[in-house]
Amino acid sequence: MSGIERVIQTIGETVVVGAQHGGGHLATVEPGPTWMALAPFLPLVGVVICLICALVPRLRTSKLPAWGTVASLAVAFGLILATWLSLDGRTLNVHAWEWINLSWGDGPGRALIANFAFHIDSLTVLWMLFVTGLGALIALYAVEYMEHDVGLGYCRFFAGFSLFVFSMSCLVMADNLLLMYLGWEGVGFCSYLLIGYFYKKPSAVAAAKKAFIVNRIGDLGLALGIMLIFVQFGTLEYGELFANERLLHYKDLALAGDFAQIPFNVQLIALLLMVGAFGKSAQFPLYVWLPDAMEGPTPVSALIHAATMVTAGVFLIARMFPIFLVSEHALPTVAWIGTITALLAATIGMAQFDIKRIMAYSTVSQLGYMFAGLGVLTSVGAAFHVFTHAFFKATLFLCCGAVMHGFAGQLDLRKVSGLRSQKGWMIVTLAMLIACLNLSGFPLTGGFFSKDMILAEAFVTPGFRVIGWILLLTAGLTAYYTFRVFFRVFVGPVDYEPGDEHHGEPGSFHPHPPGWAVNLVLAILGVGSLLVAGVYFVGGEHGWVGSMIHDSSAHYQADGTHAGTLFGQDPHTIMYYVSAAIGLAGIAIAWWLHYAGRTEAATCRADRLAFTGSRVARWARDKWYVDEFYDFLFRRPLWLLGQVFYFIDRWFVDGLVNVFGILPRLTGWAVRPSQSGLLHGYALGTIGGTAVLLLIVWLVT
Amino acid sequence: MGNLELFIPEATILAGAILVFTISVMGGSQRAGWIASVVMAAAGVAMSIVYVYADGEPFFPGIYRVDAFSQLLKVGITVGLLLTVLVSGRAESFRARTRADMPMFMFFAATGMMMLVSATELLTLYVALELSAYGLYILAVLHTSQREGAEAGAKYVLFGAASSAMTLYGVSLIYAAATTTYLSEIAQQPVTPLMVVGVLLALTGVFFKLAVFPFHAWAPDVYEASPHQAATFIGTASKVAAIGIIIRLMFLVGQGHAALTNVFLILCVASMTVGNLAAIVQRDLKRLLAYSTVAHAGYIMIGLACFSTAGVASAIFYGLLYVPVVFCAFLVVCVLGSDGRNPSKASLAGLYRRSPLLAFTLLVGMFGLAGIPPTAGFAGKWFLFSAAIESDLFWLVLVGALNATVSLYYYLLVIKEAYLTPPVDERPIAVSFATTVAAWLGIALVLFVGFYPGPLWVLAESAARAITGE
Repeated sequence: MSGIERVIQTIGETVVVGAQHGGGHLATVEPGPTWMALAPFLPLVGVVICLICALVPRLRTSKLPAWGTVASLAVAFGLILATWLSLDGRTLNVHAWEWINLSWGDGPGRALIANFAFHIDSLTVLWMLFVTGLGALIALYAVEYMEHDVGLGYCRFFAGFSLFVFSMSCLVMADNLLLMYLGWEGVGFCSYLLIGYFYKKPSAVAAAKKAFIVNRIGDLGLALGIMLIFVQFGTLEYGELFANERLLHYKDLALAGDFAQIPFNVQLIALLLMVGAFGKSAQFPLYVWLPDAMEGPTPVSALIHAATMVTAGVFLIARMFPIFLVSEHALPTVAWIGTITALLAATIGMAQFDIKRIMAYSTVSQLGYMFAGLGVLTSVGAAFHVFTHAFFKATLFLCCGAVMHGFAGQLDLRKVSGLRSQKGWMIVTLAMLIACLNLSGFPLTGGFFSKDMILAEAFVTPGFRVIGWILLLTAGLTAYYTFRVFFRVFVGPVDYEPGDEHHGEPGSFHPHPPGWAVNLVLAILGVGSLLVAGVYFVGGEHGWVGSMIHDSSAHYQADGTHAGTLFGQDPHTIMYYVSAAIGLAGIAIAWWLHYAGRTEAATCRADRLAFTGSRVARWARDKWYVDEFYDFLFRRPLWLLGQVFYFIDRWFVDGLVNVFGILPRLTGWAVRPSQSGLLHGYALGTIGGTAVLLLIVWLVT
Repeated sequence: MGNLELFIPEATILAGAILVFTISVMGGSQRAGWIASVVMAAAGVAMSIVYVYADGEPFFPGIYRVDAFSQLLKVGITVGLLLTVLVSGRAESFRARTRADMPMFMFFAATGMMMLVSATELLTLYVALELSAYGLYILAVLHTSQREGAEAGAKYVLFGAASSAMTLYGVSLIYAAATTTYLSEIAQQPVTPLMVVGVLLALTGVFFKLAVFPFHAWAPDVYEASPHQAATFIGTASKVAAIGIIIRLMFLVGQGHAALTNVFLILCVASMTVGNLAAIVQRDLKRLLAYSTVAHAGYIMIGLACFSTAGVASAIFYGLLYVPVVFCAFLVVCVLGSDGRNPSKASLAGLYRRSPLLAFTLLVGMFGLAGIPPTAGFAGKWFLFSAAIESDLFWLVLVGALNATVSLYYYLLVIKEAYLTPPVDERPIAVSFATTVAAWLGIALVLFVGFYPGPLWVLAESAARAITGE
């Protein structure tokens, strides 16, 4: 047994021991130092800087909005680091100011309290670390990427960017569901603004609307869930909710498998929250907005639609894990939906040609993994995957953005090839390679460990073995489509044509490699993606992320039921070999079909496959016609209904209103002659009026 | 003698009147007089705010009371004065020779109004009432067109004289019943029918000032025929004073005498309905605003008819916010009618293209009058209606809400003209700096109170408590 294998073996055993060890508890909430509450507000400073720049003509043409944003996010990241270092496994509550405080009578459930206060535990810090850290890096990337828009557009972009980070911070750090909801809606709104950044482009506007509307469906679920939590438990504050005696009682019942005694309305909460999570995290059937959201500028795709916002759903479920545990069907549903989404999105991703879209479907697919992980009760695995994914997916997007930028908007993998051999693209290629290895689960990368944790847990959880197999298959597909992009665009013969943003003779085009800011960010992120695997080896039983989850509400105390075998071995051990083999197989197929023997950008061995022209391949390319199906099922009937209502409104309601409208007008005309302008008439009115009033007094007394 | 320092807000305004008069007599330009009046009015606002928590008696005991109630209303009166003075820079609708003296009458009237809300003795009250009225009578006559001015002046004076007579008659009956003229002593006397009749007659004289139906007939004609700034002043500051004096008088017969309550309810419903219905058919913007004033007098009566602390507080709150709200509408009248003629609804066509600021000011004013959030008008109606519900007057809320809906029709028609109708005259409208400041000030007040009604409501509540003694 080689050294590395032994290390892996040991870790595998520790994981098993850890899963059975359990022993988590909800720490008591202590008040924290005030400076911790500053972090979420720092991005607002960025917003103010952008506003000032937009208003002052002299500053408008400077790069101040960008640097203001970068600086404010970097300071916020520093604060979060300091918070992490001083946290020490505690759960802190920092009160900023009173926000909503309504009470109607005494006793529980008779007061609605929601303050601008922050619940800071390790789960919060974990999320905030990559929200602010990646936020700062991506803002730095955008300094260069958005250069051509310096002016009002620049201010608008960075104002939206900062506002997004503020909303996301509220979402993550809130100590109550209402503030969380504010952040939740805030990120949705900022996402709408940023997707529609190129507001003169109809497709961008349509994509922004689509994202907003699809998210509304999910948000309805979330809102109902929050209301039901208040009705059931009489509080919206995390500290009180998780210490609620009824909830703890139900949790005991649930752990004993006695779901029949838990009221239906309590079990319903988790299902409603789940709908919200599906909307924000782009899960089937609400995933359709995310691929279209790629119409926004690439940094936005990287920050919002890959690294941070889309993980809000995972965060919600992790944060509300105690609620999900008391629901019999919620977590299994989450697992199944996640698995279906992972497979569906991966198959679509295999057939696309737009590299940014491939990454979008890959995001949907990877989010599916995270949900599956939550569903099979490995909140650690899900959170770890969120963490690694945030790094490598941001890298992937920023690399795609660099390509798009350098080739005048070209995103078609059939039209660009061999970046590695061109001058100035080395860092991009290396960062891309590291991120691709992560995404395809290449052994010893961060993505490899986090994905395995989810896969193995699926095999050991009773009743979820099928999910394990499907996710394993998806892992292979993932490796294939990831390296399809890499082998087509980044290596191979040098060949390119410009995108539609190029104006002038096709022959006059020269790609321009990225500048220092983009290269710096990609270098940091590439190294970060490489190092992120390391956190698996430090910090205790489940690695660093495991220790972070252990101290938070997302911790699940595993019982003895988690046991199973795969190929007669313990799944946690065998999974390293199985998933590595499948990942490598996917990469090998991609190499054979898209790299070996390719002499130009457009054609490769894959085109000669009989399968490529088949109907199934075309369906996958057309995204399984899900959008068309929704159009047929929802949009058209609604449009027809609208027409019917419009007709009724036009001819019936309007008519009725007009009849009523005439009445006051007629009365008005009737009253008018009394205002003749003649003084004695008025005097008569006044005296008469007084007389009537005196008559009333006489009658009453 | 009491603490004379408490008289500083009134004294500031009085000094303003004298200063303007001196400048005019010394041959100073109209502009110099106007600048002095702006400064003094601003000083008056500042002093009223400084003394808003003052409490005590500046003069002989019992006749003049400075408390939370009077001081808050004084803020409203001085704000109304300041806003009106700000748009009086050119005062084109005044006869040329009177333009320099015109602010003086506003200051005198404002002094009278401020004394009116503090007066706690019947004769002091009556004298203050007359002082506040004379300034307004004169302002109404000063229209560029002799004929119009004479008509407005004559109607206003005759009506005012008649209602003064009624107030005096009422005052004499009250004295006959109570054998004292101090309000605090009268309130402790047993309530006799004679007293109720006296209070009612005294009130009818004040209803005239607030333009409550059926004492409203002067308002449309006077608004139409008087100079724009005079109408603005009558429409803003004098309403606050009228509300103040009604509240002082109505509590003379305890917390709601059955007869008086009924009278208030009838006047309230009648005012709202008549005002709104008549406003629908108006074409002249100033007449429309006059009828809208009648309707708003009705809304304010909702709060008064409750005879409760919450009701009085909501009436004070509404009276105060009504100043900037209706001012926003009058400001547009003042600018559009700078040729001395009255702007009609049709002349608003395309205002948005000609002057975005004016159109927005009009929008804020109309939304405020209609009670659409987030303007102060919404907050005001909310407090009025909730006070009525607390007093079990649900039907009254229903009537009020129906009326508010009807009123929406003509307010929105005005907005439609300003924003949607294409302009006949494409020339942009020049707005002077002072008017721009006044417009933003009005908008800011309306929106601030709309978004954040808390502080003003707390003040209004403590003012109401000073009267009801709860």
